[in-house]
Amino acid sequence: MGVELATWRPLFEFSMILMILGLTGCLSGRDRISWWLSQGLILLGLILGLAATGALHPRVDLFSLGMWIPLVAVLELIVCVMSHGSIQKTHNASDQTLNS
Amino acid sequence: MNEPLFDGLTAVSAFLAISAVLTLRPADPPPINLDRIKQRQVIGLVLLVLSIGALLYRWIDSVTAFPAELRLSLVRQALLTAVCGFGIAAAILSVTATTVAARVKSFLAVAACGVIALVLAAAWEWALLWIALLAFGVWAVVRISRRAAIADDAVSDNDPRRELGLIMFAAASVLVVLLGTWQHVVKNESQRQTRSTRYSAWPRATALANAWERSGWVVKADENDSKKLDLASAELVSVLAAREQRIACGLGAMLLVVAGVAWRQSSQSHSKEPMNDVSEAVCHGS
Repeated sequence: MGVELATWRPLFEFSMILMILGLTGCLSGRDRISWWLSQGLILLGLILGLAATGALHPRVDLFSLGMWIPLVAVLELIVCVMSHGSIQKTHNASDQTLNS
Repeated sequence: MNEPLFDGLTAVSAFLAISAVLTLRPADPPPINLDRIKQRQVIGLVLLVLSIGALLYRWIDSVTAFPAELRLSLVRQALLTAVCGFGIAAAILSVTATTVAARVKSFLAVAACGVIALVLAAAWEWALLWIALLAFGVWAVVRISRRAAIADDAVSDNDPRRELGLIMFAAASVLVVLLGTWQHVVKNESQRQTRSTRYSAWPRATALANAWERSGWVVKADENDSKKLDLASAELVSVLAAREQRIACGLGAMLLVVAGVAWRQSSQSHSKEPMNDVSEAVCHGS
């Protein structure tokens, strides 16, 4: 395992830094774009980490396992988009009511 | 030879990177004193250089620890290191850049570096999965921004152009994900030696249990007496479990520190917000 670890260590470090930066940006971000970017960083870090782990453990099929995690993230994204749309509509409707 | 995945040097490097990012981030509101801004930038850059220096030392040390004949394709390894280095630099910029446009550009550079790194690692299925997710994410952000920008009257769920774009993006993403799955299945399913129903290269809901069983972390029974456990297997599993436990503890401690620092920053910024909230309430009320 040592040779493989030495080979894929940059990928591991890259993944770890992406996760840390993503979490830092997510928790301390001040605007919406930063939040989205931090989500992307976390997801990319997750995928890179799973890919590097898969290279280290060829006997274990990680793609079958790891594919569910981004799928869950996509579902979460869809829910976010839909709820944001409904919130936006509610917000606009309440604004119109207030204006009238 | 048996370097751990996560050790003290990695933790130091990560802490320095977090400190550098938090120091280099533009303050809100920006300080009026220019000397203070310069001072923060110098401290942040020093922390960044120290963090990258520790990372580079770890990489070079781990690669050169092996004899040349054991190393796998030095060119590929060097390319992977360079791409990951660029990716880390771009990721730091995507968090610390002052303008939104610069942050988005840096994130796209990170995404490109990630795809190249996965291709270099011959992890095609993961690369395709990431491309599909990135396309979907970009579409979602653009859609949210447009919906937020235009008035509610102009938003119609029956807008044919938007639905066409949704269908196109969804179809492209599904196609890329299927390509990744297909590539993975072609690579793994054909090599299956047994007809065991436990393992299949196709993604399944029982993937976690399958991966756990195939990881070698399950203590095997003794060959002579099935009621007893194999001692060598039990010892191996305990060593592996102890190592993974140390890694998990290290990562957990690191995440706690990150969350603590971020919480402190956000609580500081929230403590300055009530004035704004009051002014907004006054505006709405009037």
